[in-house]
Amino acid sequence: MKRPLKIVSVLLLSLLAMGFISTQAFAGGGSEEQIDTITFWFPGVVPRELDTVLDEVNSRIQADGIAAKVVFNFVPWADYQNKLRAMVAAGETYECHFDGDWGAIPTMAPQGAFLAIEDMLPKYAPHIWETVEKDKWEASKYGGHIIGIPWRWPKSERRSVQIRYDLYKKYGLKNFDTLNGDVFTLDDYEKFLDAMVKNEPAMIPSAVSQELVWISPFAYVGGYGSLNEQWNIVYKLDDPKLKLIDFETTDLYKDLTKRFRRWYLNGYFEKDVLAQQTSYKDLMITGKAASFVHIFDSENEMNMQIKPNHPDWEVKGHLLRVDLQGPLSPPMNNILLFNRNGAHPEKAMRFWEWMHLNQDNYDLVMYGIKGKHWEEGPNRAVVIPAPYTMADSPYYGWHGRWCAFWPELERPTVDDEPGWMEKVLKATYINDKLLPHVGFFPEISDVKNEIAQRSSLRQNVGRAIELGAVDPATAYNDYLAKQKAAGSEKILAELQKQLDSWLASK
Amino acid sequence: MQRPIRIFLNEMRRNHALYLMTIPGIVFFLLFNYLPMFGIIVVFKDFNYIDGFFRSSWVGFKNFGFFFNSTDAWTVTRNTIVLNSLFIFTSLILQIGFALLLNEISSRWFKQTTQSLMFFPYFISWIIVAVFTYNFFHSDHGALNRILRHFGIAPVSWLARAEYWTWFLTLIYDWKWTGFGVIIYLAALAGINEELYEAAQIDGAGKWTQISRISIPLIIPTAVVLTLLAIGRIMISDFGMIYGIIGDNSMLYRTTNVIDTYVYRALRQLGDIGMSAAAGLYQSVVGLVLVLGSNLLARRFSEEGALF
Amino acid sequence: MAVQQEIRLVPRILIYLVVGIFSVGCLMPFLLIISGSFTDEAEIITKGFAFIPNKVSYAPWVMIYHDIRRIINGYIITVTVTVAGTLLSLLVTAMLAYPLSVPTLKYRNYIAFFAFFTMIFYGGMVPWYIIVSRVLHLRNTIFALILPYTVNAWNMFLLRNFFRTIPKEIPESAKIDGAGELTIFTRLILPLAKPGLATVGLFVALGYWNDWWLGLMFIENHRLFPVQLLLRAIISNVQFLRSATASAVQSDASGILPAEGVKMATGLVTIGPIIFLYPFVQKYFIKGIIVGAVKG
Repeated sequence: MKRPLKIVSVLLLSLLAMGFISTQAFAGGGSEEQIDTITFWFPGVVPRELDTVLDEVNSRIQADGIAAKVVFNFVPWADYQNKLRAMVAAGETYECHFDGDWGAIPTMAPQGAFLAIEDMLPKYAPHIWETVEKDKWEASKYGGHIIGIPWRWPKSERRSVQIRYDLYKKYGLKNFDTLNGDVFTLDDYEKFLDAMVKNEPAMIPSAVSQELVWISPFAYVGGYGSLNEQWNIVYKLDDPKLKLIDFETTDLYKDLTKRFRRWYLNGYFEKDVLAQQTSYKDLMITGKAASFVHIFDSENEMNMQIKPNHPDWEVKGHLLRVDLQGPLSPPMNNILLFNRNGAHPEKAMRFWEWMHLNQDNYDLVMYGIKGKHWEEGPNRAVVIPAPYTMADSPYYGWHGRWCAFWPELERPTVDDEPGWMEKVLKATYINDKLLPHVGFFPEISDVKNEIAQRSSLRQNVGRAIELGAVDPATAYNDYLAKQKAAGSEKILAELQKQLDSWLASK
Repeated sequence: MQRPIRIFLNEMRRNHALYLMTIPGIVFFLLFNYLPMFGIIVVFKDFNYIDGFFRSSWVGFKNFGFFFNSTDAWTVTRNTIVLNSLFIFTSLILQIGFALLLNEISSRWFKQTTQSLMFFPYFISWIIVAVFTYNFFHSDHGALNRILRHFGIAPVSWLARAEYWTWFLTLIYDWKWTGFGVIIYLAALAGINEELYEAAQIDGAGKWTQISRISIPLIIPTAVVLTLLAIGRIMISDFGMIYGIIGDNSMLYRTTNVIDTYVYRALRQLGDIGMSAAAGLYQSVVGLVLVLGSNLLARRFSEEGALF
Repeated sequence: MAVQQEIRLVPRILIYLVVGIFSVGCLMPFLLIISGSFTDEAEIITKGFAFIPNKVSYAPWVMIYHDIRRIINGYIITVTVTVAGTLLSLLVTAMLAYPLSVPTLKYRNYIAFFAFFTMIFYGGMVPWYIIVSRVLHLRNTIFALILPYTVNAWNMFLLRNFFRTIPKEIPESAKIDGAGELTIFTRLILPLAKPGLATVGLFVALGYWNDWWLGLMFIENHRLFPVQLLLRAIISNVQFLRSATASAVQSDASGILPAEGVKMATGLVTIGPIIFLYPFVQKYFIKGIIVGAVKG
C-alpha cells in the first residue's frame, strides 16, 4: 500500500499548492468594502502593460471620488461572441462589453441581454448625455430603451473604390475628385480594371474581401436601403412605408450579377475568388492587387501601410456615385453595452464619464501613461517610443476602444495622412444619411428557421452568383426559386409587420 | 432464481473494491457530462436570456425546422457519413499497416526517428494546414499546378472542383492522424507475448504467417474498439479541420459541406442556442443508433473488442 | 528482445522505403513552417512558401519576443496544468478502466455504456459553462483548467482495451495468494500495462497541452492564461486586423503585419517543448526498448 499512498498524497499536495498559487495570482480586489470591481469585456489581445495602466487609472478615479476598481478582460476575436453568449446566458454579473451591429447585438438585444440606461445617463454621465447627439441616442435604442453608449466617430458605409493611383495615372485614365463632387461610376472603375488586365497581367485587378457580403452594400446605387446585409433584404429609400423586398428580386441585383459575371470572365477577379484566403489588405500592400471596394476609411489605412515600403505607390479612394444618397454607419457600429445583470452599472457609467471629461483622462485610458507608453507628436499625434511600433506597442491599440471614440478627443497617429480627419468628415457629409430603419431590431423567433435557410442558401448558392463564378443566366432563376421555397415570403411578411408597428410608434 | 436485490448485494460483496475504484471516474462524468445535459431541453424551447433555460417557452420540434426543411439536409448528412467512413476506413488500414511495418524494422534509430516524424503532423494546427492547402491548390500560383505546367499538363482549378475534395480531405486527414494511431497499435503490439512468436518460429512459420496469425488477430480488439468509438461519432465532424480548409468556398460545398459546417454557416448570424442544439441532438441520436447496432455486430465478431 | 527473424532483402528495402517516404512527407510541412516563420511577409504573399526563405525576416519572432514574458508565464501555467492533469487523469481513468476490463464484474457493461453515452450526447456549451462556472465555482481558478478534462470516455476505453490484454492468470493467481484488488492493481496491473499507460498518458498530456478552450471559457485573470490561449489570441488578433471588419481607425499597424509569419512562428512555439519530451515517452511503446516490462 505504500507506493500508491505516496503517489496519491503527492498529488493531493500539489493540487493544494496549485489552489494556493491560483488564489495568490488572482490578487483579489474588493478587500476594502467600498471599492467595487467593475468589469469590461473587449475582444482582442490583452495589452502587455494593461495592469500598469489600470493601476494608474484606478488610483486616479478613486482620488476623483469613484469607489471602483476597473478591470478590462480580453477574449480572442474568434471566440468573442461565444464567450459573450455563455456569460450572459449564465447570468454573469460583469458590467459592460463592447460590440457592434455587425456582432451579436441583433440577436442578443431581442433576447433581453441588455440593461436600459436612459434614466441613469443624465444622473451618472451628464457630460456624455449632453455631448452625444440626440439622433445617436435614438439610434442606440432597442424596444424604446437606450442600451449602450455609442461612439461619435463619423463613418459612412458608402462604397468607395480604392485604387492604386500611381498605376491609374500611369495608364492615362481620367481623373476624378469624388470628394468634391465628381461622380465616379462602376463603368469608370471598369476602365481601370480593363487597363490592369491588359498591362499588368501579374496583378489581380480587383481583390475581394473574404467577408460574406459583396453585393448588398451596393444597394444604394439602385436607390435602395439595406435592412440587413446578411439577410439581403432591402427597401426603396424614397418609399415612406419602407416596403421590404428581397434584394435578389430587384433589377439592380440582376444587373449587378451580370456585370460581375463579366468581371469574373474578363479576369478582373481572380479565378479562385471564392476560396480567397489571403486578405485583400495583404494583396494590396504587397502589390499583388491593384484595387478593391470597401469604405472610404480604407484609403488612410492602405497608405499608412504601403508608404514605408513603397513611397512611390499611392492608394486613392473614389467614392462611388456621390450623386446618390449613401448610408451613414449607424451609431451602434461601435457601442459600449450594459449587461442586464451587471452588479454596478452606475459605477461603470461614472468611469466612462470620467474618461470623457477631459483630454488627460481620455489619453490615459486610451493610450497609456504619457512619457512611458506614448509620446505626443506633431498635430496632437500619438507616437510610440522605440523599440516598439504601432503593431506591437505595449499598450496602445487595444481592440474595442473604438466605442469610446470622440472626434475632439481622439488623437491621430503619426502614420495617419495629415488632414485625414477632415477628409473623413467631408466624405461622410456628402449626401450621406442615416437609414430610416436604424434602431429597428426585429424579433425573429417566428421566422428564425426561414432566416437560417435563407442565410444558408445565400452562402451556398448566392455568393457564387454574386461574385460571377457561375453563370447567372443558368443559376439565377434556380436561386430565386430556392429562396422562395425556403420561405422568403414568410420572412418578408413577418418583418414588414414588425417594421410597420415600429414606424408607427415613432 | 435469486431475487434481484440479492444478486446485487452478492455482487457488491464479491467485488466491492473494484466498484469503489470506479467511483471517482463516475463522479467526474456526473459532474462534467451528465449535469450539463439538462441543457438538452433547450432543443425544444425558444431560448431567451431573461427566461433562461427553465422559463423559456416550449416550442416542440420547431428548432429542427431549419435543418430538415432545407433541401440540403440529405446532402450534408451524406457528406458527413461518407467522409467520416472514408476517414475511419483508410486510417485503420494505414495505421495498422504502418504499425506492422515499423515493428519489422530492426534498426532502432530508423524506427524511432520515422515514428516520431510520423507524429509531427498531429501538432500542426488546422489553421496552418489551411494556409498550406490554399497555397498548394491555388489555380494560379499553387504548387500543384506549377508542377503540372512543368510537365505540360493543363492546370486545373482545384479550388473550384468539388469532386476531388472528398479524396483530398481524406488524404489530409490520414496525413494528420496516421502517426497518432500508429502509436496505439504499436503499444498494442508491444503487449503481445514474445513467446508466441518464438514458438511459431520454431514451428517453421514464416514472417507473413506470424503477422497474419499472431499480430493481427491480437490487435483486432483494439481496432474494433477504436472503430466502434469512431462510429458513435460518425455524424460529428472535425469542424476545425473542415471549416479551416474549406472556409467559405461554396464551390466545394457539394462534397464537403458536413452537418457541423452547414449548421454553423446557417446559424452564425442568428446565435440561436436551441437550433444548434437541435442539430446536435440529431447527430447524437443517429450516432447512438449506429453504434448500438455496430456493437451488437462486434459482439459476435470479437467479444473483446465490443464496447459493451 | 527475442531474436529478430531475418526478412528477405527485397521486402526489407520496400518496408524501409515506404516508411521512409511517408515520414519525409510528414516532415516536409514542418520544414515549411520553420522556414515560413523566418520569411518576409511580402514574399509569402506573392510567392508562397519555400523550404529556404528567399527573403529573410525576423519580424514574426520579434513580435513573439516582445511578448516573451507572458509567454513564459503561460508556459508555467500550461506545464503545471499538464503535469498535474495528466497524473490525476491517468489515475482516475485507470481506476475506472481496470474494473471494466475484469470479465467477472457483473455490471461492467452498464458502467461502460454510462461512460460511452457522454461521448455522443452533449448538453451544450452554455449549460456546461453554467455548471462549471456557477455551480462548481471553478471560474478563475487553476482547477478549471484541469478538472473538466479529467475523465474522457475515449481514453477510458482505450485504456480498458490495454488492460484486457493482460492474461487473466496473473490477477487470479495473486488472489489465490491472498492479495486484495487494490494491491493487484497497483503492484501487478499497472506495471504490466506500461505501454497502454504511456500511450493514454501521452494523449492526455497532449490534450492538456494543446487546450485553449478551458482557459477561454473560465479564466479572466490573464496571469492564469495557458500559453495556447495567448497564442490563439495573437493569431486571432492578426486575422481580425486583416479582415474587412477592421477598417481604418481600427487597424493602426504600420508596415506589413507579418500575419502569415506569426501563424508559423506561434505554431512552433506551441509545439516546441513537447517535441523534446516526446522521445522519452516513445520508449514505452516501441517494442524492443521496453523498460521494465515483465511478462510471465
